[in-house]
Amino acid sequence: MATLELRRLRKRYAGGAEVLHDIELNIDHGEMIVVVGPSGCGKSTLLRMVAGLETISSGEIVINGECVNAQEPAERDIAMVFQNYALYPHMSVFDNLAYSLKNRRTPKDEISRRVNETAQLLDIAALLDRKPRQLSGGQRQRVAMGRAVIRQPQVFLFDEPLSNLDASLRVQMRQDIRALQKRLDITSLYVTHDQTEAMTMADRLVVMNAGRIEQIGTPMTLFRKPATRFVAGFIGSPAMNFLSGNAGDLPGWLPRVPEETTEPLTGDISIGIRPEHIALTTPNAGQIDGHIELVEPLGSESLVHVRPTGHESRLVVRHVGTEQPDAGQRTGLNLQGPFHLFDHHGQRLATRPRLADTTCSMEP
Amino acid sequence: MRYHRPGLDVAAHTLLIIGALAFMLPVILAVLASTQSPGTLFSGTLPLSFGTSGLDHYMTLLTEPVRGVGVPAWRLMLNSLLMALGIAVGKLTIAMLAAYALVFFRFPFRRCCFWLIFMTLMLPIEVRIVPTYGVVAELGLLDSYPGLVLPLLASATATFLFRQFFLTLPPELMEAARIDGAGPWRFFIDILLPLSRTNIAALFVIMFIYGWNQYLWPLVTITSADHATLVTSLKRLTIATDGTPPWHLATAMTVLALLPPVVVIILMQRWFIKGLVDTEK
Ligand SMILES: Nc1ncnc2c1ncn2[C@@H]1O[C@H](COP(=O)(O)OP(=O)(O)OP(=O)(O)O)[C@@H](O)[C@H]1O
Ligand SMILES: [Mg+2]
Repeated sequence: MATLELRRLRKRYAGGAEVLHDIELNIDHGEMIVVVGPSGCGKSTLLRMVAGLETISSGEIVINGECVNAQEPAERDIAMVFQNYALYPHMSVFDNLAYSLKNRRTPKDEISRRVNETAQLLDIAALLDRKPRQLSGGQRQRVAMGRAVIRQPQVFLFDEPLSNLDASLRVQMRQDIRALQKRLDITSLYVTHDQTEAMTMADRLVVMNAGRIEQIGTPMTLFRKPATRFVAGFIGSPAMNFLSGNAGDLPGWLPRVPEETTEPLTGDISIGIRPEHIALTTPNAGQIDGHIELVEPLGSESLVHVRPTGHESRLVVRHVGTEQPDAGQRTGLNLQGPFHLFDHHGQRLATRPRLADTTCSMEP
Repeated sequence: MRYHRPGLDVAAHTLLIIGALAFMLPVILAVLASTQSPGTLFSGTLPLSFGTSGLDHYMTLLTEPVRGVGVPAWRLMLNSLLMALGIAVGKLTIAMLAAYALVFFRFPFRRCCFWLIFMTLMLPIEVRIVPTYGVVAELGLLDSYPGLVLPLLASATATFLFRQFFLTLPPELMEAARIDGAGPWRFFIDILLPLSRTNIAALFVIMFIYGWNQYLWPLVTITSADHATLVTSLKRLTIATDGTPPWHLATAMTVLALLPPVVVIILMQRWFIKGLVDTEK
């Protein structure tokens, strides 16, 4: 059990641009923090800095109140699970698990006791004599987990540990990892670019974009109140619809943008509407009509892409139910809200939009 | 790859057998000649069967001082073996360590070091023999085992091959080991060394034969019989006596010179095949 603090952390690679800017993050005892963001935003770099594998350009990494900037990875008492597992190919599963204990001069009988315990915990007891190449992807993943767990470290670091697994195994493993982490109560930093993984596993979610933290919060907070347009578009699947236009000049069919904004709305703004907050109705029954351009059946629901009459951009509607509308049909759209408003910097505008009817025009 | 075409099999085997015979024929002739009596050999025709002398010539070589050299052949073999082992083990050790540094450590002028090493490929012992002789003489190592082995130790080829192999290993392997508490030496011994088994076995064979066959450098630096090597002595044996060279002894000594490399290949072959069969990765 440990706390982990990142204080104004920066990273600049030799000869490169700065890839992390002033990262501030406080992680509590036993908390599972998931860092999510698009490829290249610096997630791995952040994790590797915490692990001690990457130098720190400026700022501090503090574990349990102690600055670990100058410590070697082995001294920091962390364990890391790599995307490609990085199991030692020539060692049996037993030796892979035992290696860190051997290096710490643990007595032989304690090593074998702990290896067996860990193997039991991860359900790999039958595989102890095998070499990594004789294991399936899922089993390798478990061994990699075991190698991290066995030392009972202060902090777990995961760098996209599930991205080499197939979809069903990924679902299984993310539940297992989550359960294990809660059971062992070890502070964890988990990096992924899969937002479902992020939502389901996190105590708190950190959304990163281009080397900066966009927002930190529980998955549902981020979903309900995204602080920036980036977070709004990144969290939630299918992604939120955005309509942008000038504040003084919004489309008439749009539910009126609220009066309750703290400041008067000016300039270009974006209005975000989640696909589940738009309903299909009969033509002329909603705020606007449109053409169905594409229907993507997902089973219990379909994603319906509608082009509102007279507009360039498409809206994605989440249509629950097994019966599907046909592409090419006319349909009415009922926009229900809540709506999310962002200024031209992409910052959320503090407001609760209400349904109303003003006239304006919409830009694609 | 395996094709199911009987014709192809026959053709492939015919070619292989012809090739093998072409390589084996001189060796077979040497073995046969070494069992003939001197008289038969001097008659000018070499019978294609074992002669009457059996292993007599070998016994002579191994027990009595070799003419023109002064020590028995077992001593020459021992010297050659020490030289070859010294060169092979030394080359592998230095090459692995150099490649380890080049691949896994960040230090100033790393690329520069690599190119310097790489360029020495163009400077075999024959080219630098005069300055090398000077250095070894200065060190007082002429006519000694260290003087024999040291100048032949560095190997750009082996360094290069190890470097290429290390580059294929995922960098996470070292990072995982670091997190697991393995320092640079532990990582080298526990992880790199076992993973390099196959490469080491292959390079050991090549380097051993390279060392065993050294001719020019021992010829230049060794002056006493105590340090003479088998390959250089072979030449002495044939020019030592007036009149006709003792071909019966020369052929026997050639066969003796063949044996250690053959033994090394046979021993190491198991390692290769083991390494190749259970491919790690
Ligand atoms: N060794 C390096 N030298 C220079 N630049 C680097 C180095 N490693 C990463 N970068 C750069 O730093 C940025 C962040 O990389 P990082 O690997 O942290 O991204 P990531 O968020 O983990 O992406 P992904 O989801 O694809 O793994 C990238 O722009 C990358 O090009
Ligand atoms: Mg990454």
